[in-house]
Amino acid sequence: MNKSEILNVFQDVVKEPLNSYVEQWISGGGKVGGYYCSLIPAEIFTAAGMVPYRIRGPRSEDTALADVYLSSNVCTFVRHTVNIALQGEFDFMSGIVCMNGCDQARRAYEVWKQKTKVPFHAFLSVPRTSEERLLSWYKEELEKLIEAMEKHFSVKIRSQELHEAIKLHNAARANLIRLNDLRKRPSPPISGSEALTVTIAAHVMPLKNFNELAEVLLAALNSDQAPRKYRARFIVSGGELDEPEFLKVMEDQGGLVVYEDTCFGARFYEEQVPEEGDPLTKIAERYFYRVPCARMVNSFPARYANVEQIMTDFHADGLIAQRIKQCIVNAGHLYNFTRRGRSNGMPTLVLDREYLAGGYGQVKTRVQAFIENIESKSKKGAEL
Amino acid sequence: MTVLGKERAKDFEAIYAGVSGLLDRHQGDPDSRAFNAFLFAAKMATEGILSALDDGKPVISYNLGGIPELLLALGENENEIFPFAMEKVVALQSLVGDSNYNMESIDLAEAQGMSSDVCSTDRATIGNLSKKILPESLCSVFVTAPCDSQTVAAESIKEITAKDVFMIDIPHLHGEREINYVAGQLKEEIKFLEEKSGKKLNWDRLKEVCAESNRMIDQALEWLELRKTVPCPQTSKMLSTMYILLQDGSGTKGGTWVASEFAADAKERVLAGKSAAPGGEKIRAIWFGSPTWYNIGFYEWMENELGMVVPVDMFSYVVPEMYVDTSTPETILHDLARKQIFMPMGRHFTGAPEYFVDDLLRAVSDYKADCALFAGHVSCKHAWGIIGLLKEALREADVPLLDFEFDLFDPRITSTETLQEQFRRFAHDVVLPRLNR
Ligand code: SF4
Ligand code: SF4
Repeated sequence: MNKSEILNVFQDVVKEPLNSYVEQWISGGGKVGGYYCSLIPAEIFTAAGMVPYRIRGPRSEDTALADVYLSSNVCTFVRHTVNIALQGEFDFMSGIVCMNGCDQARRAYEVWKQKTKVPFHAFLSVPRTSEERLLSWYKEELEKLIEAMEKHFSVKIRSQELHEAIKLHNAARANLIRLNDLRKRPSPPISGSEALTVTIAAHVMPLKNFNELAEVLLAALNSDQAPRKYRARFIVSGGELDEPEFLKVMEDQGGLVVYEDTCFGARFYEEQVPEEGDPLTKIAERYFYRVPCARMVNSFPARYANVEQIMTDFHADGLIAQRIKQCIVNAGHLYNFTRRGRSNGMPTLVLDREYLAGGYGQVKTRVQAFIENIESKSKKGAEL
Repeated sequence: MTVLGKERAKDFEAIYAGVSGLLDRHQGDPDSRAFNAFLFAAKMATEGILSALDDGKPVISYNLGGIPELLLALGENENEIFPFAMEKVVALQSLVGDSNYNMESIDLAEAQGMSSDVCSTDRATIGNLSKKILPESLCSVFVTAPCDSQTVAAESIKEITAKDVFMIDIPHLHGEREINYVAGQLKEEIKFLEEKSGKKLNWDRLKEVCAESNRMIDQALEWLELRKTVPCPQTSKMLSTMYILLQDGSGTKGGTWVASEFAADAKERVLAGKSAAPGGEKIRAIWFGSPTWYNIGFYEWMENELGMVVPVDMFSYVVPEMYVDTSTPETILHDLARKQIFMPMGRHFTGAPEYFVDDLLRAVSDYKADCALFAGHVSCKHAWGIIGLLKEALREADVPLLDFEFDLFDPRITSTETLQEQFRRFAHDVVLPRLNR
């Protein structure tokens, strides 16, 4: 398969709630476990013999059913995903695991639990600061989850199963890291919207299939030296972002997205789980200490330092910090990004959007203006 | 950062002046005994913080979900450290009737990039920090309750002030395992505070501080018992002060005195057969959610116009959970952890929806209420996130419910008139016809 054929496969995977790979897995007797947040280690599902599936809302057009339970005061990401669940389109899952990622997603858990047919539910209480003193609590929460899954699914999740799962997930992460490294090139062989499509696919399909496809894709991309035209390179930061179309709109304006500092982006693959040592401890440490997201407090300086490093490594010209309206946890970080950008001069564009809103008229205008701003600054710099 | 007691004392003193003005106005009013006690204590506390700043005494701030006991017990002697509840300024500003002041602070935070989705309490506090009217702290102790807004505001406050923060993680559920988890964090907090302040925690004083907190709770419980009387003897608006009292008054003689005045006033009124509703009590309602702080007079309007009284609300319903067993350092830390988890808003907005729904239903029954009010502050996403389940539970229990949307500090979201219309319709079209059936 060539590059565009493989990308088409990934596009098919991400466009429906139930994709053909998952369908095939289920028809072979396999189970699927849904989860909501990057702090829920997907390795545990794999170790239980399930395919981990990160909940998202492809193709959703309506939130009417979810609005009854959550009101329109809750973010559109949560409402769309709950709506799909209430329509029964996620009934292919054998269980879901939620956590206190944010106030809104944790309320979604109750609706899933009480109003859907998905039979297994578990909830993790994850500390909101990744300080060493709290790591043991997080690990205990994972142990409780394992115990509940073992009981419900009549499986054993021992060191051996966890170890195998780590290897599989590390392989997927290694593929995504390699893919992302290609984006450091002056002419990256893949656009931001394409790269995000690939990363999303890794969240919602069996990783064995994913790795096979990713390796073929990487081989094709490695040899692709075609020049790519763009006016400015961006990092996109924030929480939920599983809409490649959103990045495409930016890229259609002449921007090139070279890194997604987001939950469905780099937060998924950026660090490996060491394959030596007690596997559950290593999993806990990887998820707990990784570059923090906006729900973790006492964390912003580390997050920002990471963004600055990525800006350098990926030769980015600007940072686009975005969030879904009503998302409070990311509102806090966006405010902090704005403050830092003002004081250190990093070109920073803050965007609010609705999940799956399409259109993106305002995004186009603001990204265009942002690009012009960056261009005029670099022109001025060149003239000095 | 420069903060200031002195350069901006005038701003801070706006509250002081407001409190003093209200006190002067209601001094001789026998119906205002309880509220006056609260105002008097607020005035004393404001004087205390201003003179602490003048004397260069160290201040340690804490956020909305926090409790002051550990801070009060730092050092050999009393008042070596001044605990400062940052968001209290916003609440006091509203209680003294000046919501414009808060709106200015809210607008300032938004102009600097803080989204309007974040709670107005936090936006106003961030605006207040930018106006440099809050005292500079040595460091801060924040909790991750009651909500995302508080939590992210803590992070932004840290960005603005560049002061070290100790973060207490409040877990999802409220059982024994969770209490022990928080108690363990309190031990870490003590180490942090001792290091930052250079003062040792005085365990004997901590015991006394907690005993003082318990005395306040005794009084508050007596007060709540009296408020069960039909008709409810005392105006509903007193309930909205309970948050500040628990957060700021715990462990202080002033706090205990205010609670005793609340109880004494309620008792006096019960004995005199007085009702909170001058024209007679027609509807008893349980208010769950935040108060309409931007217009505290709204409660009096309910009482006067609709004969609707609120005997207990979400803030005061947690009072029985606030006791601290002072027998040993372990029991103290355990119960302070419990208190921390059960603080108003924290108890009902974190954790499982049952905490909100079951407590509301129990409050309806304990206080012989006719209906429930879901006071839906727009930023309380956690509360709106259970509205469907709440409606189902109340329908099943046959308790009429009014859910309304507003902003607790910002009248621009829902005006008083709009709220009044919703309440009128609910009273006349839903509750009274049922009661008269
Ligand atoms: S977008 Fe924000 S509010 Fe919505 S689920 Fe994600 S973190 Fe929560
Ligand atoms: S009112 Fe609601 S949003 Fe505001 S601090 Fe309290 S719980 Fe949070």
